[in-house]
Parts: sequence; C-alpha cells; structure tokens
Amino acid sequence: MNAPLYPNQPLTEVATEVKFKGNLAVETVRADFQSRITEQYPILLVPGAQQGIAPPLQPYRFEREDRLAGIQLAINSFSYYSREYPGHESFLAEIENALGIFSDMVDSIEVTRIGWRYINAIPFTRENGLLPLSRFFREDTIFGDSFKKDIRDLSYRVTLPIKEKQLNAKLDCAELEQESGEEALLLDIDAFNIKEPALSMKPLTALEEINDLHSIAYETFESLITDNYRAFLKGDNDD
Amino acid sequence: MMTNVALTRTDAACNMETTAGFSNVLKRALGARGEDRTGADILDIRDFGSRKRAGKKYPLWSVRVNHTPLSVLVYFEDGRWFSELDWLNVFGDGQTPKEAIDSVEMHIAHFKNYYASVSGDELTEYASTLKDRFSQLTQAE
Repeated sequence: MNAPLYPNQPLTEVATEVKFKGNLAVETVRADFQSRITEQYPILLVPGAQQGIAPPLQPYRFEREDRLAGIQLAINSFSYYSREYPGHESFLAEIENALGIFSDMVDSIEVTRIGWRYINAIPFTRENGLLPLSRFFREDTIFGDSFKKDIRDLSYRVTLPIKEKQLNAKLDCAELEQESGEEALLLDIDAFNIKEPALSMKPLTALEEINDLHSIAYETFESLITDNYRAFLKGDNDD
Repeated sequence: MMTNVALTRTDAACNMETTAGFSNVLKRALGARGEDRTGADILDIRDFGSRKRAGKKYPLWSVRVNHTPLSVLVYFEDGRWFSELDWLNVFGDGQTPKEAIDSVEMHIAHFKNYYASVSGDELTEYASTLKDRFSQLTQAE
C-alpha cells in the first residue's frame, strides 16, 4: 500500500516488531548479524541491568550513526524503528533487508506477535484553556464523539478487533517537558496480531503481515483526522 | 520502553542516560516498559525534548487560506520560544509556544491591515507578493 509522506507529519517514531518464543540461536548469531549490518548500523547499545527483567530478554540495539533508525534483537524479538519516518516504501525496504539477514541466520522462529506502531506527537496550543481536539480529530468509530466536548486533559485508550487483527489506540495530552509549556497530543496507534498458538516461520515471511498491519495503522490515522488538519500536514500553505 | 533504564553505548565511556526532567504525564502516556506494545523497548522520550531546538510546525487555526490553517514553525533558542511564518515573512516570540504563536498572530493582523491600506504601486515586487498573500487570508472563528 502506498501511503503519502506528509511534509508536516507529526510522526515521532515508527516501529515494527516480530516477537517469537525464546530462541537461543539468536545468542549465537548476534555477532554475525552485527557484522552484516555494521556498515549501516555502526552503533551498538547494550542494556543495563534491570530489576525484574531477565537479561536475555533485553534487546541489543544497533543504530545508525545519526541515531534516527535502528534494529533491536533479543532472544524473543526482532524490531526495526525509525525516528524520522522516510515513507512506507523506504521503511519497508529497510525492514526487508534486516529481516532477510536475520532469516539467513536462523532456521525458523515461533512467532507469537507481529506489530506496527505509529507514534504521533501533535503540537498544539490551547484555546480558552481547552484542548482544540475538534480541530484535529473528527467523530469516528474509535474515539466516538468525545472530541466535541470541552476537555482540559485527556488520556484515552482503546483496544479493539479490526480486520481480523487488533488495534491499540491511545490518545493523551502530554506536557513534553516539565515547565516548558510545550504540549502535544500523543496519538499512539499500534496494529498487531497475536499468534496463538505460535506460528513457525522464517522471519522474512512476516513481511507480508507487517505490510497489512501498516495499512491498518495508516487507515486508522487517516480516519481520525479532519480534512483541514490533513491539508496542514500536506503543507498546502507552505509555499 | 526507555522510561526506566536506558541503553549504554559501547563505543564511548558515558554515564547511564536517564529520563529525569521529563514530565510524568509524558512517561505515562508512552507507557511502561514490558507492556505488550509494538517496540515497547525502543521509544526514547528524551527525543521529544531534544527536538524542540529543531522546531515543530504548529497549525495556526485562526488564520487560513482556502480553509487550510497556516503553518508556523516554533522552536526554542537561548531560553525563549520563537515562531516563524516564512510565507508571510512574520515572526514572533514568547516565554511559551503559545505566547510565540499569539505573537506571530498579532503581527499577521497588523500587516494584514497595513497591506490593505497601501496601494500596490507604492510597493516593491516582494512587498506586492506579500500584499497579495495577506489578501488571501481569512479569519476563522
């Protein structure tokens, strides 16, 4: 699916992830994996000790020099993320490349969950002390008509089935930093599919489902926003 | 999610990175580490703060062209918020993003009146372009 890349997009993070049953083969291929991707992702970040979380489940992170995209690998998960979304085709090509390398190194994995997540931080200023929600969002099947009301603070979360998969949608009003006065509406869209029982597959074969989940996340975002806000995102008045 | 402990770079001696200083509201909004969410270990809320220097585009809902809100770049520099609207060559500033946007809105109102009051014959080519742009503006409710 071709999704337009908006010049004024509010995306701050896009991530896709394949979770699988713990597979110790990951421990043995991690060094080879690093050597295959190190030219593009030269920064290695390792997790610190965390109480209550088993060290093998904490992913190693391989990041680009500019820190804007990277890969995470643990014995039960593979994820790819970008903080400067280059558009769906480029993003998918990067996932395909990384998953392909991972696929070369493990026979198969027992997939338990596949997900695609968009996180949008939408800057706004209040109007008469209220959130200008109806400027950005329209009445829809996810959040209903809540946006017509006068609202000062917001933390909204729903999980619902959609197209035989599932969707976590979350909308929060957040102050970005203490005392900065900078606020944003955080719209977090997480389309995912739980595999129960786990499905044995080569990692690269998850790509088709990743694509489907992207479509759900994208269509959800488009269904939520007003036409005027979409025109702003397109940069219609930016020269 | 990176709300509790951050990763450490392996190619440089550096302190553990923390999220101190970021609002609890933001931390709560993004969720806790270990939640069943895609990429729950990835997100790094420190990015949200660092991006303010690069600036963000805010829609200016009160002033539109063809129903589309104008786009104002707002950024933080030297302890103050600044706003820019290149298309109309107007700028503003303030102690908060809202003040900076209110300031640029005030300048728009001023120059809209100014350009409406002067003849195109008296203006340079660029000023004539601005006069034309200001004439396209409509005030929303």
